[in-house]
Amino acid sequence: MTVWTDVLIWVLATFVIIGAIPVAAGLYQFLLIPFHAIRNHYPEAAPYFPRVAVVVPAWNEGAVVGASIDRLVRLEYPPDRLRIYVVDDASTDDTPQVVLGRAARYPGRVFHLRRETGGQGKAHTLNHGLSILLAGAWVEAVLIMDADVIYQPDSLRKMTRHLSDPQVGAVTAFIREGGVDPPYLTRFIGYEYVAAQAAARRAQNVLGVLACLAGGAQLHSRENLEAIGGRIDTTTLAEDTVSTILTQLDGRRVVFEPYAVVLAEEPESIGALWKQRLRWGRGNVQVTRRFSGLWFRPSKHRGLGGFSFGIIWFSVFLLPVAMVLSSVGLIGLYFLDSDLAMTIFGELWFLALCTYLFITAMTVQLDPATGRRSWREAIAFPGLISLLVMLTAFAPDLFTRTVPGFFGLEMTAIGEGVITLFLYAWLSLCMPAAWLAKVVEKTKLGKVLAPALIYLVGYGPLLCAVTFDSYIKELQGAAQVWDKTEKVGKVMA
Amino acid sequence: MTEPQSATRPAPTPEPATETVGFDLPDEARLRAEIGADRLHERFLVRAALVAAILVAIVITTRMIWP
Repeated sequence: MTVWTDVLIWVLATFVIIGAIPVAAGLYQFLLIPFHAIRNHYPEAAPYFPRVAVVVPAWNEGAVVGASIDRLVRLEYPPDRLRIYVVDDASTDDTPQVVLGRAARYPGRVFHLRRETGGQGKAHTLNHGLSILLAGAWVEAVLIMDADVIYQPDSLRKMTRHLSDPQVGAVTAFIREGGVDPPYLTRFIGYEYVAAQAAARRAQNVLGVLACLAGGAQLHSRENLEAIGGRIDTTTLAEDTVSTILTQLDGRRVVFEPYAVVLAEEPESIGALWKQRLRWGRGNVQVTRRFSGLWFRPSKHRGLGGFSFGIIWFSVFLLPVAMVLSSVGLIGLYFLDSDLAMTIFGELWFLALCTYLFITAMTVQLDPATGRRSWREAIAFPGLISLLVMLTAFAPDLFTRTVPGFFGLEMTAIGEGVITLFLYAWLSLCMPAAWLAKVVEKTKLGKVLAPALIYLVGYGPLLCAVTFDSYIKELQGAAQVWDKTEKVGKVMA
Repeated sequence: MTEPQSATRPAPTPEPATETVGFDLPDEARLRAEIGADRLHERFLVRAALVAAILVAIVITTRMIWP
């Protein structure tokens, strides 16, 4: 072996290790969760009922906005301290009639603010409402929500109790998937929301820094909103993340309240999910670029610029890149040092197996109702094929010798090589395979093939594929369209 | 950005019926007790982590003794 071969082996091994970083970061984040039992904001919280203006951006939300208003006026909150402002973004459906009907039914509590020209997106709509609200003196806090979400009766007062601490600028709630009899994809989303919110945001509470206020449930103090400019960012597709970061950069805390539960309707088709997540993914690319001087610079901000938060942020943001690098590293090592490749492959997937088990076991316990409803999706989250690959951590010869031997077959050397290379490449191949599910969903057999592919390939790889697409769309400078996710009002009453 | 859209019809006249709903300010002691209860409830996270850790420990042990 030449020196250059040795160097190449080191480089390829490093690629594989980079692939392990997001896995380790995921495990680290979940290991932080139990510390929320002692490190949380409850000691500083106190009963507090500021005058809250609920801002509901609505663009053709006639099917859902009425039920949302009915729920809002029944919140366990002093009626004289709660007003609902529906900012109608030039809707062309029956949104105005529905809202004005509710305004008449609940006089002095529901208000209809109409934009005569609209379609520019949620942030512009919110800013129309905020400019009116902040011009008056009544408002002490603003709750920004989506028209389709349903707040549990005690959710708002559980959020406002954190604002009693002047150090807190904003509070977010737990958005739970709330569809009635949800199909397979929505059950995946329900499980994902528990992992990404009830779990991960508790970990971020422990770190003292939050990545993102949920767009459908963000409560700001008036002081905070005015400090970040009195308006919502309109330059990116992730206005909620920008507000979160600006709040913390301005010296105020952002708190996640896990017992404030908000039900939301989520997409039922891969196409609709892809559209929604592409918007989120592109927003994250834009936010990463906008705050490029912040990451891994504790001098800029102790939390947001800290190493822990940076690793967590980039582990999500660059997960597809890490997966591709890992595959490239393993395939390269296979040709240079196949024993080393097999060893690293086994350790990488064993780490993935341990992380998967820990995360899954934690997540189903954090929200047992969702755990019971989505247990199949919890198991199949990384994909059944990936679960089989994890088994090779126990038995490296499982697919090349053990399984063929079970059928009395003996694999040829070429066959062994092909299967080994497939296993090494799977971390990358799972993304186009997940994209294929989106393609076949539109075909005649889509109702059968698309779910089968998602269970086989995994919901996690589907999200990675969308993230990859968001890189491409940003690189291409694709038009920044605020595609609204279609809602039909199927949230549990 | 998408093209701005114009409303195609004016907002209609609201219905006259009214309804009074709401919630009276709860007793402060009860609200403080609720905060304390939520804080205490967070201890379940430790139990959840222990269960998850035991599961992982079983898998690690199995791998170590795997032939």
